[in-house]
Amino acid sequence: MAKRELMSGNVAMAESAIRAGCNFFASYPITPQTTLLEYMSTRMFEVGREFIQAESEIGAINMVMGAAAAGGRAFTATAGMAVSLMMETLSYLCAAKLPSVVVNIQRTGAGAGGITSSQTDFHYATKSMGHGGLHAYVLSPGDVQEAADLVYDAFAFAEKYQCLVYILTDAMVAQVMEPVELKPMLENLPVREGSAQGSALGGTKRINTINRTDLRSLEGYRSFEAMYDTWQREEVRYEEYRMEDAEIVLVATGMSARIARGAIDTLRAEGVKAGMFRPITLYPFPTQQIRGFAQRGIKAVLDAEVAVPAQMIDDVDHALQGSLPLYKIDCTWNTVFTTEDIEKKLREVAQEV
Amino acid sequence: MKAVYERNPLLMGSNKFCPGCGHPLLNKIIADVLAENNWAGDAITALCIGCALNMTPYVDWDLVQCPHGRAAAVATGIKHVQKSKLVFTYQGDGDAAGIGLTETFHAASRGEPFTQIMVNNQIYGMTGGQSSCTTLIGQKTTTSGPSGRDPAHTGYPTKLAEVIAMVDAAGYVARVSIHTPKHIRQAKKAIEKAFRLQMEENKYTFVEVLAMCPTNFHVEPWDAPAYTEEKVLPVFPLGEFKTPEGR
Ligand SMILES: Cc1ncc(C[n+]2csc(CCOP(=O)(O)OP(=O)(O)O)c2C)c(N)n1
Ligand code: SF4
Ligand SMILES: [Mg+2]
Repeated sequence: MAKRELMSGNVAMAESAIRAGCNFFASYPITPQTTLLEYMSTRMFEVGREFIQAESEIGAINMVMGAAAAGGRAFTATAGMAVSLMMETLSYLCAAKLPSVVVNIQRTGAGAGGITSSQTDFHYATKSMGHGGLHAYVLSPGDVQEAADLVYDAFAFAEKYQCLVYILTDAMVAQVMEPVELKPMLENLPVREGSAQGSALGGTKRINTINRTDLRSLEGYRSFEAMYDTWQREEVRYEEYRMEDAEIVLVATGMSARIARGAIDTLRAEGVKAGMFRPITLYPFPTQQIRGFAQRGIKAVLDAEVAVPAQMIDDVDHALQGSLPLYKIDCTWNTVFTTEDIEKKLREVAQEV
Repeated sequence: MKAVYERNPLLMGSNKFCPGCGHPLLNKIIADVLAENNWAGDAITALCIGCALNMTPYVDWDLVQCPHGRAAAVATGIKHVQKSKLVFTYQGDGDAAGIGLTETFHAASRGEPFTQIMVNNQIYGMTGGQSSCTTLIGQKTTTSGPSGRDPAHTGYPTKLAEVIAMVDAAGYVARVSIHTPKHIRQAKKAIEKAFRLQMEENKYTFVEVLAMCPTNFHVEPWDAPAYTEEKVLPVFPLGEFKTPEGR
């Protein structure tokens, strides 16, 4: 068994990207991502890979695009308002089917926002990757180990589907230190076929990332739709915690799920049949799984998230289609709910159903 | 019988540029440089958004389509992954000097070993003739107002080659024109030199090419060379602004 090391989510994600074969990283500093960038600045050179501190997030994501187009395994990490600077190119990456991995460590609120941990980019990450309505495969890690594993697997997933993988995490998961077991270093990975590497004269190998006539058409967009349907059928990921005979189910991701886990245990000890459902893929959202709650004897659902107005609740509501009563507990900025707040809310819900 | 002149096979079929446009002429110059130096199989172009998009079905080498203005950043990513390849951007003036100035400037500052080609036609051609930062004083565009560019309102034409020549890490910087056979020969030499310095000495190189846009100069195609000579050259002087140790 590989040895377990104590590391922050940021460092675990960075090291996992390297081990998964990431050979190009470009990024620009922003709290709470900076320790990831700093780690990469030395570690990428140690392993002989490419690192650039870009002039801006626009620069960084376009470097990622160039590296991906040229067959590289490209990666960037950012946060908050900087994601907005990247949005145009994230749309291009989806449209040109260039495999790449992006981490967004959410920080609070709109505009300059604040640097406290939050979940306010849920809609932004899941509803459309910039203009045009295409999607990334969006993942939400619950702890440092999972953050490491999801980033590691993201590279293979991006190659498999020729898509953008978007890790939507938060400052709590990124900054907390936990013991992690990292996956092995992959080496000598093949350069992707069909990437821009210079074509021999004659045209058969010529690569043109805009002239993807297969994609720039109704049929092309139907193929994107079909890929998202496949994800919905085959690539949905989630965790069920004490759900076996649960009657009240809390739905939460990332930092909210971390805070809520203890509340489930407390309520169970009090004799309330509480459980937690934690979506790991945010796009595709586990819609069918949540839609099935009523058939499983579940009586009520509580949505918990660090976003006001709450966002994920829209997807939970869409999944339930009114089949069960839906409650929420939310907060934002300097006020983050505690485990006790969630316990109290769960007791209230238990009394009502 | 020996062929005296043949069509460059790197140019495929006809093109959709306007009559008298500088772009297809420059495409041919680049294709000739690539073919003569056996670089075509190594070439990767970071292609801008602008009238240059008409190149995509026309030229036969690898192209990576970039968001408007971001070609220098995209080329940075390409070159770091394909270090031995000939990487060059092909951008309009609006693309490289306007919306993409930051990316252009910092690629030069880092000394990224690729070539930037900026096609300066003093106009936003693709979107139908709006003002560019390079538009001449008094030149009428669809957004300049009826009396043309007024320095009191929008300042003076951006001279990017001169700016990039001030950057320490830039290895070679030139401005050329393609409005007469003599100028075409000089332009070809400058582009070849820029590519060679990239390939052999890992230099960042920059070539600004003054190109004709008869459609938005509001002149007949055959009058565009005289327009360039009389109106454009006095504002945008030609020459090598930076060469490695005086070469
Ligand atoms: C982000 C963004 N803004 C605006 C546009 C619209 N647009 C397309 S090309 C162009 C100007 C092109 O001018 P230039 O770079 O000088 O190239 P030319 O067509 O003159 O060769 C503009 C504004 C765009 N494609 N993307
Ligand atoms: S508008 Fe101008 S730059 Fe564009 S194709 Fe026509 S002549 Fe060329
Ligand atoms: Mg122009």
